[in-house]
Amino acid sequence: MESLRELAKNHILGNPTRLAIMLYLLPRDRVLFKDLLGVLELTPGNLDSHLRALQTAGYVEVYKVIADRPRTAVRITEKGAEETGKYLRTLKGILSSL
Amino acid sequence: MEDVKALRETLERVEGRLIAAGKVYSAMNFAFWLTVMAIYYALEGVVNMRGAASTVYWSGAILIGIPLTIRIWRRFERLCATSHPGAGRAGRGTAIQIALAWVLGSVIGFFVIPSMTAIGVNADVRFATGLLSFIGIALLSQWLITTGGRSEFEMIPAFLLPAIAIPVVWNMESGAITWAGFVIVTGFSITILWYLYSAFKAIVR
Repeated sequence: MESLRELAKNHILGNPTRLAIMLYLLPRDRVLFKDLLGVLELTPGNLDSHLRALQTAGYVEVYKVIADRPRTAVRITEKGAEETGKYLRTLKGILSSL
Repeated sequence: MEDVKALRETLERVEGRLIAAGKVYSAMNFAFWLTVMAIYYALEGVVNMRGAASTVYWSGAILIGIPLTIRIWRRFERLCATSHPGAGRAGRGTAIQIALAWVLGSVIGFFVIPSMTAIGVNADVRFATGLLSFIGIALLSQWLITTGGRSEFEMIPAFLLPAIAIPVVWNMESGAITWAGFVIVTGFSITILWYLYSAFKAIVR
């Protein structure tokens, strides 16, 4: 029950799209906004709003890079990686006990 | 209950892919050092790599290799934290311990053993013994510090083979350095293969 409560408390990763963004970022150093759009099949506005939520929570950093042209890049933070790992472990623990 | 089963399977697939990514990163780390060693041997056939050239080469490799290794290691830790409770970013203490393990290995391997004239019949044998000891001590210590000897068994050939080869190289009369180098290359290659096998196993499990 305690794990369930803990899981329910995380409003950031409780959203499947945000969890998917974090899972995609986890093994990578940085991802371009346009690549995330293609992978997750979201609209730019929708992805932007999810990234803002993740950025506010301190899970990701959004910054500008020069690729083929100026692009927006997203990087996972240590806190984001830690919280995603914790979330996955809790979720797995709950599912295993069911 | 069907939904729970489907979610559990999805989660296991995700976890498998994250574990696989971690294994591939570890393999990349060993592959980098394997490439550095292979280039050294290739250059040795063209230019004299003894003395200053060797020092410059290995200093350059270390300068590039250490930041790369740290970067790969950070990603690996991140991925481990998704499946192992208690795993996560190693603190400064662990990093210092790993650095000390490499310093200890290099002191024993490159200073203590080569100065012991009772070992081997010539300086080449002493250097080869030292080289194998350096890799054996440093990697074994790193493995014990980071895993406590409970996981990442893929790393074992990288330090076990050089350690086993010490008594053999000790009694060699010629070609000791080249042979020691190839033993290290073999150990690293097996480790890389094992990591890649583990990665595929994690994906298809």
